[in-house]
Order: sequence, then C-alpha cells, then structure tokens
Amino acid sequence: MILKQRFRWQAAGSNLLFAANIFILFLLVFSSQVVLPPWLQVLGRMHPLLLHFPIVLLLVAAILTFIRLREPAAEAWKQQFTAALLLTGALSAVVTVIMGLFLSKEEGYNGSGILQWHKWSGVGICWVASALYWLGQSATPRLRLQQAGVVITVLLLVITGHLGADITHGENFVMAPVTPAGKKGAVPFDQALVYEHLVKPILEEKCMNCHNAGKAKGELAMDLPQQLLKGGKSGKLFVAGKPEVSLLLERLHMPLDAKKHMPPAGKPQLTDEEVALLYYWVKGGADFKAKVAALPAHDSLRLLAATMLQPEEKKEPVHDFSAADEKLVEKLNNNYRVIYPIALHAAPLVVNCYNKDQFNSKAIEELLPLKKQIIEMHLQKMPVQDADLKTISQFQQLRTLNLSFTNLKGKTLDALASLPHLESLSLSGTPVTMAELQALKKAPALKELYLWNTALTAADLQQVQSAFKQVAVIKGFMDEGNLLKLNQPQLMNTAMIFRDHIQLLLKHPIRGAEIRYTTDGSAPDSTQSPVFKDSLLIDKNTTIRAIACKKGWYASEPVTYSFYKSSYIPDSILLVTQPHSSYPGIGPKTLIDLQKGGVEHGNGKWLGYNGKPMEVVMLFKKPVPVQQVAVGSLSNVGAYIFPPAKIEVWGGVDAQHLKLLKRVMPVAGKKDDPVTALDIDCSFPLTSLSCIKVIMTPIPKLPDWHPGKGNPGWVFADEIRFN
Amino acid sequence: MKNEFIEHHLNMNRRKFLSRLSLGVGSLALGSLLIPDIFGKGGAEEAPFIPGVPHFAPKAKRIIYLFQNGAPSQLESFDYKPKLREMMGQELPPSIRMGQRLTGMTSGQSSFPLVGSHYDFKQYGDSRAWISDLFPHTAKIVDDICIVRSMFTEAINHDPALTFFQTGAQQGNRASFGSWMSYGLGSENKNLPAFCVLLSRGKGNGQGVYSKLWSNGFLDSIHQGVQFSSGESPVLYLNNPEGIDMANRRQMLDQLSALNDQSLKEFGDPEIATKIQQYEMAYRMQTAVPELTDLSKESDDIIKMYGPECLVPGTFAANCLLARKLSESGVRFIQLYHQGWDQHGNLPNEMAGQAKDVDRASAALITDLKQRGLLDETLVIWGGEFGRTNYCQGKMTADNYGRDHHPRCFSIWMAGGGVKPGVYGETDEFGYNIIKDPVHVHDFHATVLHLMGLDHEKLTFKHQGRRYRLTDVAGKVIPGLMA
Repeated sequence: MILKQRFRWQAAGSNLLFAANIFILFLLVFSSQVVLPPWLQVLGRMHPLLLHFPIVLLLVAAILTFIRLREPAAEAWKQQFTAALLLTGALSAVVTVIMGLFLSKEEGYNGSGILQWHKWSGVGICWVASALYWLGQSATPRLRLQQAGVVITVLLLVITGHLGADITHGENFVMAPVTPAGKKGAVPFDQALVYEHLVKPILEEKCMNCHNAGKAKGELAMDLPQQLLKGGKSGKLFVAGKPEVSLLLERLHMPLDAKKHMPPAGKPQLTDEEVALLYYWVKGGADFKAKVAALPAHDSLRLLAATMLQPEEKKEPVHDFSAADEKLVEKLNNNYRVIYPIALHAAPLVVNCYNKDQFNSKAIEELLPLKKQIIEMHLQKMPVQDADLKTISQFQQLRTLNLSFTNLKGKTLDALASLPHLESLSLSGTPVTMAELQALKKAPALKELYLWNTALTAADLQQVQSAFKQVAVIKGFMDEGNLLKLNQPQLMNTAMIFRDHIQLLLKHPIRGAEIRYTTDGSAPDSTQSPVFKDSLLIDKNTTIRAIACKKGWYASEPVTYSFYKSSYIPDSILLVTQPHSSYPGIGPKTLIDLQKGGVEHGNGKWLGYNGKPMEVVMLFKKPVPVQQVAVGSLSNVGAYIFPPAKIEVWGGVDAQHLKLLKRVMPVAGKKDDPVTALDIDCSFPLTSLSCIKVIMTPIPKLPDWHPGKGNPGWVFADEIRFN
Repeated sequence: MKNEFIEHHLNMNRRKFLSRLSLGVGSLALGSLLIPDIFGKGGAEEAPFIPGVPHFAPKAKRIIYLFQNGAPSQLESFDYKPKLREMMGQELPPSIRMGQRLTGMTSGQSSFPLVGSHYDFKQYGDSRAWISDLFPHTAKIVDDICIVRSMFTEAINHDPALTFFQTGAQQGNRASFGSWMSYGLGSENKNLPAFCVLLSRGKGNGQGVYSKLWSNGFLDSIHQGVQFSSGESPVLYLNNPEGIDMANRRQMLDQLSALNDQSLKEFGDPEIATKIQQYEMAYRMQTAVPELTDLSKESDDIIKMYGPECLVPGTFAANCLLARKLSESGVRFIQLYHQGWDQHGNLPNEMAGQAKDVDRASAALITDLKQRGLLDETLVIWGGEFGRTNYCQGKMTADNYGRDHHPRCFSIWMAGGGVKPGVYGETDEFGYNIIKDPVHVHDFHATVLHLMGLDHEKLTFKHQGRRYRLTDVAGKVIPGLMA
C-alpha cells in the first residue's frame, strides 16, 4: 500500500474543481437565460488560447498512468505527480469549457451541428477528468478503471480538438490538402453544376470558415442553399438577377480597408475570376440546380466556368490494337503513297495517295499487312476502280475513307457496308445513284456521307437524308440563285501602239463567257453589240469598250482600251535633259518602244522629271510627212505628278533649223483628279520633217491646295507618236 | 613548427567536420526546398526532339493562313463599337489612352478625335457575333469561325509586327511559322513543298512583304517557304529548259546526285543532303505543280463560290482556290498575303475595296473545305499584324477618315482544325484596350501549335548554343479557343 501524500493546495483545488463543475452544469442548464457582460466576452475569447493546457496536461497524465516504475518510492512519487497533473488538467479543462460556453454565447455561433458536438465532448472531458481525479483519490484505487477512463479522456480530447478546429478553420481543414475531392476542377465540364461545382467551392474556401452552421458570423451560414437564401443579420445575401444591389457583391467589392469588406483584411481574398463568377451567378438568377453545360454557348458564366473546370470529357477514340512494325511502314512509304502514324508512338495509321499516274490497284493491295492499323485512307482523285472496294473492305479499322473524284461507278458499294468502324465516307464527284447507296444502309458506324457533285439531284439528296437518319449527308455548296457579276475581259496584247495594224486579243477566264464590244465609244450592250471572236484587226486609233456576258451571270463592267497608231518610228532618239534617277525607264527608248506605261508611275515604263523640262530630240533618216505628235503623260496629283504645264513641238530638216510647230497648254491638275494616263495631242499643218524636238515642262510649283505646295511638280512621259 | 603543423591538422577535427557537414547537408536541404526538382529530374537530358511527327494526336493537319498585310481595321470589321459613333469627333479620353505610345505618324497630332465606323454592323449566327456590312460572306459562315477580338502584339510598325507574327520575333533572323511547321510535322506530300507562299495585292495603301517572312532561318533550308507566282510558271525555274525532256532531266539529276553524294561523304555537310533532296523534289514537282495550278477544270459551282476573280491569277480569290488545292494535296502550311490594308487615310473607300477583294473568297474557302470534309483537319486563319486606332489620323470629314497603327487590340478569325467557333475576348467600349481574355502573339502561336499536335515548349531547335522556339520563352495555350 502506497502512502497517499498530498500537495498542500490539492484539497483546495479539489474543491474548486467540484464548484466549477457545478457552475458548468448551471451554465448548461440555464444557457438560454445567460446574458454575457462584455468583460466576460474577453475571457470567452481566450478559449482558443487556454484549451492547449488541458490537452497537454491530460495527455501527460494519461501517459504516466500507463507507466509503472520498479522503485516503490519513485512509483509513489509518480502517482502523486500524476494526480496533481490530473487535477491541474481537469481544472484547466473546466476553465476552458466555461470560457468556451461564454464564447458560444457570442453572435455567430449558433447552437447546431458541430458546435453542439464540440460542447458536449468538451464538457465530457471535464467530467471524465474530474471523475478520474476523484477516483485516484479514493482509498481503493482501481487501476483498470482508471486506465479505461484515461483512454476515454484521450479519445474525447482528440474528438473535441478536431471539432473545435473544424469550427475555427472550416470543415476538414486538416485533411483538405490531401483529399482529392477538395481539389478544384475535378468535375468535367459537361457534368458540372453551377452552384455545386463552381459557387460552393468558392464559398467553402473563402467564406465558410466564419459563415458555417457551427459559427455563423453575422448570423450568416453558407452551408446550405436555404441558408444562403435566408441571408444574415444585415439582410438578404443577394437579389437574384440583380448583382448590383446584392449584399454579397457589395461586401466583396468594398475597398479592402473598409470595415465591412469581406473576406476581412488578412484572410484569403477572392480572385477576380471568383468575384466575376459570383457576379454572373447572381446575375443569372442564382440558380442552385443549373448545369453549366445547359448555359447558352456564349454566356459569360459558361466561359468563365470553362476555364475553371476540367475540359469536357472528350470521347477520344480508343484504339485497341497494337502498332505496326515501323520498318514495314517505312518500306511501304514512298513518294506517292504516304503512311504516317497519327501521333508519336501511336498505333493508328493514315494513308494518303498522290499523283494519279502513279496509282493502281496494287497501291492498296500492298497495304494489306497494315490492315489492322490503318484508320484513314485518302484516295481522292486517284483512279480507284469499283473492284478495289473489295480490297478496301478488308481494312476493318477504317474510320475515314475518301473516294471523291475517283473512277468509281458505285456498283460495289456494298463491300463497304461491312466495315464496322467506318464513320466518314466521301463519294463526291462519282456517279453513284440512289439504288447503289442503299447498300450502305447496313454500315453500322456511318456518320458522314459526302455526296455533292454526284448523279443525285437535290430531291434525291433529300431522299438520301431521310433514308439515312443517323448520317449527316453533305450536299455541298448550294448556289442561292443570286446572280453574280462577271469580271472584266482581259487584254492579252502588251503593245497599245501600233505602226500599221494590230491583232487585238481579248480573253475571259471563265469558260463560255462571251465578250461583246463597241469601237465607237458607246457603251457595249449584252445583246446588240458584236461578239468578239478570237481577234480583231485594227489599223487606226481605236478605243474599244468591251463587256463579258454569260448566262446565269450579270454582265461585267465595261473595260476600255485605247490603241494608238504611230505611223513613224524615229531612227534615233536623244534625251537632251536626263530624267530623275528614280524613274529612268529604259532610257530614251522608253518614248518609242510602243509600250504604254499604264497608270503606275513606278513600273519602269515611265520617264520622270522633277523641276526641269523634258527635252528630247528625234531624228528620221528620211523626211516624213507629219501632222500630229502625241505625247503620253500621266496625271496622279496624289503622287505629285501633274499634267505638264506646256508642251512645245519643234520641227525642221535638222537640229539646227527647228521652228516651233505647236505649243499646247494642257488643263492643269485639280484636287481630286483620278489617276489617268494622258495622251496629249499636238496637231499642226502637215509638214515634212526629219528632226523633231519635244519640250515638256512640269508645273514650276505645286498649287496651294496640295500638301506639298511650293515644291516643284513632276512630269512623266511614256510614249511619243507621230502621224 | 611541428606544433603549428599539428594545429593545422586540428583545424579539421571530428567536431568541426560534423558541424560543417551539417551545414552542408542543411544547405542541400534548403536548396531542395527552394527548387523542388533540383535532385529529381535535373541532370538527366530531356528526350531529344523528334521532328516530323506530332507529339500528340492533332486536331488540325494543315494550316492556311490568310494574312491581311497592312493591318485591317478591327473597328470596321469584327469589333463593334457603337460608342465611337456616339462620341464622333470628341477627344480620346486620356484615361483610356493612359499615355501609351503612338507611332511617329500621329504622335505629333494635337488632337485625337474619336471616329466611329462608317459601316453598319449586324449580328449573325448562333453566336450573335457583330460583323460589319463590309463582310457579308464572312457573316454567312460565322458559325464556323472563331472571332478573336482580343489579340495584341508588341510591335507598332508594319515590318516588326509582321515579322513577329511570322517568326515569333521582331528582328527577322528566326525561322518562320511555316518553316517550324515543316520542321515539326514534315511534309505530307513528298511531291510538293511543305510550306508554300502566295501573294496578292489589293488597291488600298500597301506595305511590302519580303522573302525573309518565309525564310527557314536557322532551320534546314528544306523548310523554306516556296513562293508560287501568278505568271506563266507559278514556281520559278521549275520547268525544263527548251530541248530538255523528262528523261534527259532524270539522267542529269542522277549524275548530279552521284556527284553530290560524293561530296557529302567527303565533307559531311548536311546542306548537301538537303540539296539532293531538293533537286529530287523539284523533279517530282514538275508533274505535281502544273496539275495543281491548272484552275481551268474547276466546276462552275466552285467558280461561283469563290467569285469570278478566282480564275484571274494573282488575285486573292485565285490564291484562295489554289490554297485549297494545295492543302488538299497535303501541303502543310500555305501562307497567303493580301497587301493593301494600311488605311492611314481614305479608310472608308479603301477598306471597302479591300474587303470586297477578300470577303467572298475567304468565306468560300471555308465552305469548300467543309464540303470536302477537310475543314476538320485544316486550320484557316484570317488576320493582320495589328489593329488600327479608334481616333482619326489626319483630317476627319463626315464620311472620310484614317486610322493609325494600334497594337493593343485587334481582331482575327480562325476556323476549322479544332477551333471552337464563337467570339473570344473583349475590348473596352472605346475599342482601345482589352478588358477580357487577351491573346498575345506568342499565345496564338502556342495554341496553333497545340492544335497541330505540337507542344510549343518541345518544338525546339538548337542553334548557336541555345534552344530556339517559335514562342521564344513565352506563350501559353489558350483552352478557350479550342473545341
């Protein structure tokens, strides 16, 4: 028998313990009547601080209870020490419970769920620990009973501690990082619910630490939809459809340092996406049942959800066959038949054939060793014959088969019906008929059928679609009946200037388009004007206007080409003044090469002069009778190119004896003049000449309305003609 | 002396050794905390890149890029901003501009008057996307396309911006987009180049395109873009010279390649191997190209769909039709450039002409690919290098104005090849800044590569000691753009 020694204060402690237990009982019984003065609230709030004492003290006492020391004196001391520990532990537990009861009186802790369990298990600790202490003090110690009590205390400690942590940190706080269900985006897009998988996780993570059933701060709990709808002390949480006036968003959007900003400063804040998500959820009516996938395709909420959730579970095709021998694939690959895997280390193979001259039935037969792997065959435009379909039908894994514009007649289509996986079949550009297509009805997996440009009429295609209900029939581009305007005829001639005569060649790129023209300057007509046939011989200055017409099209805009006769070509030509180095054309020849320069000044067919006149002398070996000199020039005021200020034509028998034959002052360039090629006519009485000099002077200064006002103008020349 | 020697040895006694050891182990532990995989994956070389095969099953196999060179205005095409019409002529608020840089062309302007679209917008399709009246045919295919209204870039002038879009860098010494694609995925049809380029020009104010845009950069020269021209021989120097027939040519090539083989063995320069391959491909192209570029056999329906201009070589419509044929024949990347979209002035008139050039044919390309079942595996992209300002450049009249360069937001569209149709991204009501889902050029590249079955971080090429990527060191795949 070990002598029971007591510390002096133990008796007092024991009494205190008893009294405190009574007080707890009182608090529990009259909990609804108790009103807490503020100073007690301070004590109550120290509950989370104090609770560590009972945990440690009672745990140590529990361990000591299970230890037996061999030395009797030491054992006695240990027992005494354990008893003291037990007493302090029980006392601290009692104080903690009292504080906890005070704390639970504060707003936000409603008496349901976790809090209740926490309270009762906490009280349980007090009582069990107290009972244990008194048991130890009794004359007949019962070791087994004591040990059992210790185990119960420890269990209660663990349970109470855990429940308490759930209240302060939120449910499942400890295990959350390793609980897979807690991870975001585990739900695939097509199964997700807006509230359950988008809204609730945000609330759980950022709000429910304080707003849960156990600890509803501001009388707001967020666990259940009803609670959300009910709101808290400050009123309803949101007005469905009106996020602007909803308390939830108001609090979220308050400045971070505002007192009512939620979550409170220092706690994890919501990200912009999360705020946006709550906004759109409320805006959309705060539906608790809506499915994400049911939202309109471009709903903001849906788009937002797409980034947060796992992408829709794709039914990626599963290929349950092994890969082919790489060497074999390599061997069968050639320049005209390409076989490649759909991706690195993937078994399925795709075949493409190119160049119809290199294709024959063997090209398919040789592939048979790969029939277990080939899932796509693209044979469009190859001379595939009806008989080849029998070979193709052995490729049991085929998903896609393109036979458009091949030589198929369609007689053996039934061979393809046996392909178990064939999903897409293209027969466009083959003469298949309704009757032949019937064979494909048995094809089990068919989803797409390309049938445009076949022997089938629009009505037939309609019929096919109704016969093949599960199949998308692709009927191709349908002309809506809107007439289109033809493009203009094209001129095939390069020279626009001729000496005696010229073969005019007009063409139109569209087969069957007719070209009608006039040469009298009138607008061509699609019924009256003569039809252009192959070519037209012209031998004088002619302006041809032409349109293209075709049945089923609107006639084109008229096109106008002018052809100029130049009866004489000088035997030599000399530029007295040199053109600007940027626009040298092809030298003096530019002026007499029978090529018009078009309207592009930078195309190398023009001579350009800036600030100085063009002066050119042309010599004829034999005198020629001339009554007209025409100078080709350009007007493009936007590019600083103006019609010349004046043109002077001088003539005579040689360079020393020239007299002025004509001076022309062309119309000055105006502001919005279009870009045009000019042909400036200088006519004079018929004179026999062997030397002609032309001086073309640019305008000295650009006019005031021009952006480059004051600068010297440009003048461009391309061709000088003599008649 | 001896003592000192012993003392020196004592500098490292057991106690010191252990304490230092603990310090060392401690810093190792700290290091591994800071860089989690410092001891894990580190050290081991990552798996070498295998060119020519997609990393994962691709959504798209081929790309047709309808580049609108010169930067079409988003405000007259796909980004509807009624506010600008309301505030016509009023000053651009500084709170919107936020002091961001302007080009030298308008930075000197004393006033930045807002200008609304001259053209009306209407809503189309399931997505109710707003499209301007300038693009009636694009409006018809709106449910097949994804309009991205929140593109942005870093460059503010044409050449750097264009180069950025085409090579992933502004400076222009990198491999172009198509070359990367050729390198990463290889050629489907060995009789044609994997990367083809087609040029056309509208009547609007134009900006040049240069061959550096389809350069292979540091990649093997087989990945260079091949330009098809509109003249008599679409591919230059492909036809046999007069008096040489195919048999002759074959014989010449055989002998040449024997010589080249010899020097390859001697010098081991991979460019020689490339040269041999290129000669061989050119030989096969001699039969493949004429068949492809012959548009005369196209049916009337097709011509009506693309518009009659499609038979005039060198037009955008003809290039679209050719692009479809090239794509159908397995060309991996077809790059079109349509010039003339640089509307600093006279925008309403010039833009109408430009839109007329491209609208019908762009839409027809989508329709045509769709009816051939090719839209699912072909990615079509339409767009320019940046956007245009919401304020007027130069003089503003009731029905005429101009717009300067604006890199901070612009619209492009994509179709087919795993793209999710609809509208993506949003700009503010002034059409100046992006307010939702911005897409950087690098992001765009990363997403397109992803659709092609390539991981943009794995598609690398080691050159001058570093690994290069199309997306440089940035870019993220944008799931919202993908179906």
